[in-house]
Amino acid sequence: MIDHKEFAKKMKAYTVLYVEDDIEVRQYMTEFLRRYCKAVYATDNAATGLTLYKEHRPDILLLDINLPGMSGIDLAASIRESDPLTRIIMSTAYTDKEFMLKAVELGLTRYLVKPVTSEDIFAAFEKCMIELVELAPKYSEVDLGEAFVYNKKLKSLLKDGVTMALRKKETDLLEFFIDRPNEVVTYALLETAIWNDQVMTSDAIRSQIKNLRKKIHHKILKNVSGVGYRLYQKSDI
Amino acid sequence: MISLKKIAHKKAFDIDHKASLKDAMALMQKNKNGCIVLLNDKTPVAILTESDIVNSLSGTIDLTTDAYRYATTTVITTNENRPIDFAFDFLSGHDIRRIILVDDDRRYAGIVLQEDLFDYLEEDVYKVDLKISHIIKSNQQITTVNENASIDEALILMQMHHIGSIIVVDEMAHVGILTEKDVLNLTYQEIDTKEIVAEHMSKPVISVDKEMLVADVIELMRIRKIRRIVVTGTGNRMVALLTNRDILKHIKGNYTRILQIKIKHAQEIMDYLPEAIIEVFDAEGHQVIHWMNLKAKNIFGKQLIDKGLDTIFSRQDWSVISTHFQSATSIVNKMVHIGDAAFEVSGTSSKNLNSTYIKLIFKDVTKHENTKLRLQQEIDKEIEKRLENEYLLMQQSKLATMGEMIGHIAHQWRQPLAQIGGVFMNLESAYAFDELSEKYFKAKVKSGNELLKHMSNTIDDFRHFFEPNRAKEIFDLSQYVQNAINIIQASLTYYHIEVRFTAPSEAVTISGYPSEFAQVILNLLDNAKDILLENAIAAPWISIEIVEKDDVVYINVEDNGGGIDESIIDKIFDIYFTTKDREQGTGLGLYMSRLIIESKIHGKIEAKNGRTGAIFMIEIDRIARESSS
Repeated sequence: MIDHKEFAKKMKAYTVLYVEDDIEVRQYMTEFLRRYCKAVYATDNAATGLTLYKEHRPDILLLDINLPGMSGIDLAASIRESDPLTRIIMSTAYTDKEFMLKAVELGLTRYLVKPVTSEDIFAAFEKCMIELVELAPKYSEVDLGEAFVYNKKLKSLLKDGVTMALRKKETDLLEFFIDRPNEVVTYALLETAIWNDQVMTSDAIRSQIKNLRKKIHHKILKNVSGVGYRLYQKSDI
Repeated sequence: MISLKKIAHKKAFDIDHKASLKDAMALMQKNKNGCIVLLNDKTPVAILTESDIVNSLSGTIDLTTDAYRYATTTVITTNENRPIDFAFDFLSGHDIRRIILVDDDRRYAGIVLQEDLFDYLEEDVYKVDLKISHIIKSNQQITTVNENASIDEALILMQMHHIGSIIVVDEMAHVGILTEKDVLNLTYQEIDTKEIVAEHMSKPVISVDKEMLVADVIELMRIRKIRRIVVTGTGNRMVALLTNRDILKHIKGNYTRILQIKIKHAQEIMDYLPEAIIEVFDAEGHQVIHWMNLKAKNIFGKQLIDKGLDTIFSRQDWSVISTHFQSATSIVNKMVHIGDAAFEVSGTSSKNLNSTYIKLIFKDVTKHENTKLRLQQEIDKEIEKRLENEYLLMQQSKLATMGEMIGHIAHQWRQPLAQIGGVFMNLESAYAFDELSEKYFKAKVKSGNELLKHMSNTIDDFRHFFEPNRAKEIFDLSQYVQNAINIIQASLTYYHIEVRFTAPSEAVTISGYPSEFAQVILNLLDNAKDILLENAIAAPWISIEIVEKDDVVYINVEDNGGGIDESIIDKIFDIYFTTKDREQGTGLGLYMSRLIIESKIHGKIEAKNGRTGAIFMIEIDRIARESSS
């Protein structure tokens, strides 16, 4: 069983373009996706889909194959001409062998047969995210402000492209906050997740926080009085 | 049997009908037969014989007068191609001694003399043991004349007794004979008929003993070139004057014997025939096998002569044949089975006073019958195979229809299924985010139920659509066209095919079988859909139009799929004709459609090409329908 909230945390960084001509299905799916994604751009035809793509440059495309006029495949093909990165998921009412070949050619991530379930969606999006991180640095780099960047893939902290040394505990703590942007991490959560329920003194926490602030910058972790800490936000600076 | 023309005399037996008696007689003497045929430009018009001359002799005769005057002008002729045995009957039937032959154009072709025929008689008819005594009458009256009588006296006797010769006697015995030939001779020499007979008779008289064989007598007469001979009995006493006509007449009387010989001959020939022949003797209802040819003996057995017919036929077959002969004289190709063999029996019956002979010929048709049987079996087998094939094809057609139906159902369900999926996804996610309020939950369940209901209705629609009508009913064409559209609508929508349906605002009703009619429309829509997809038409559409013109209703189904190839347009309604590949097409759809329109609706269906694609036109003439049903 997938933890929806956990999944939503991961998906929150991503935007999705959704093209589906069945109005009911589109409404249900859009409602669903909005709970997880940073933004969902939905339309009922490929032409508008292309316009929305150009306008918003979404990370992931969810396209129905059978669309009036231009098909989902045609849309995917035209986007692929200049964009090898954007992940594409196709949905269709029928399995179609011919399409499978096309899917390989167009570098499609997944092929969903209707009716789709949340598991299908999660699995497909999960794969998209993994692929994106693999393919483009921007998806593994987190801007920590003040020219500091954390690369999730390399598990290293960089400043102006130069790697900065971090201790194991410090890396674990920083990643824990990076994975929960905009979220206040409680002392209790830190206890169980980072210290694995070992007895942890508030001094120990403070000491680690201090180290991170020293190595990165002061505003990297913000104290929320009496609750815990949260990762820096751009607005903080 | 040879024809008469082979034995005919052709020279010195004819003269022009204007010839003088003297010339005619000269020729008669030359041919030594005492007769001449008078011709008028090749057509025989009279015959002059010695007896004509004998009969006309009274006193002197002027030899310079026309021969025609003395001739017999009733000429009896026959075709030269007749067989010789015909001549026997002909001569005795007409009581003549010569036959004048004519060709097919009735022109003179020669003459056949009585004595010529002897050469051609089958020898054993008279040769074996026939004696003169057998053929002469015992108390024959012989006309004689004294040797000192005048020729005139002799002629009067001959004319009186209608005889061609007269025996000349002295006080003791016969001394000579005066024949027509002699008379002819002395007439020709213009000898005075007052002279005595003895001076001019033929002598000596050739005589034979009555115990002499007829064959020898004939031979003797032939050598001596005479037509009469004196027959003597004991003590050289003259007992009869025998002419070759008498012999011939006798042989004619004995003709039965000839026939019997011929029959024997025929029966021998029949032994060589490949068919079995039997003769049945039927005397007052009691039937026995009278005779069998060799083949019959070989087939049915050698010991069956005089046995009953049940030794050959089944009781039933013989009963049919014998009953048939009670009212008919022939039977043709009556099929009977004897043992393992099959025969066609034909035959005739000939009735005598109290008895009947039935001849039956058996044509062995066993082989033929077996071939027929084998062919029939092959035909039966073929028919069975064909029926089986047809059954398989019908099954295939049903499967294809089912496949199409499942396709349509899949399309119909595709949308609600996807939507129900959406409902579940949102219920799940709302719960996960603690957003599942009672109101939200109820709204989603309601949507889900509506979708389920919709799916259930789809199943009902399909089920009803394929229920056949048991009886005719009056129905609205528009309604059933719409039913067909409903079935295929989801598929068409999926492929973005636009459907245009126009019909008169009022119901267009006919009587017939609505379900079958709707299936025809569905078939046409399906075909149109297939061609639109196959040709990847950019903006595909199908238009259905119901038009009412007086009493005729037209239902036109048109598409923009490119039309039908003109070279096959005449064949598309034929059974097993298809342009689709084997998996997709059975070649039955349009065939069945035509069958339904013609037999269930009493309409017509035809196809033509419009501007952008095919047009299928169903025409229903209400008036014609009423009068035809």
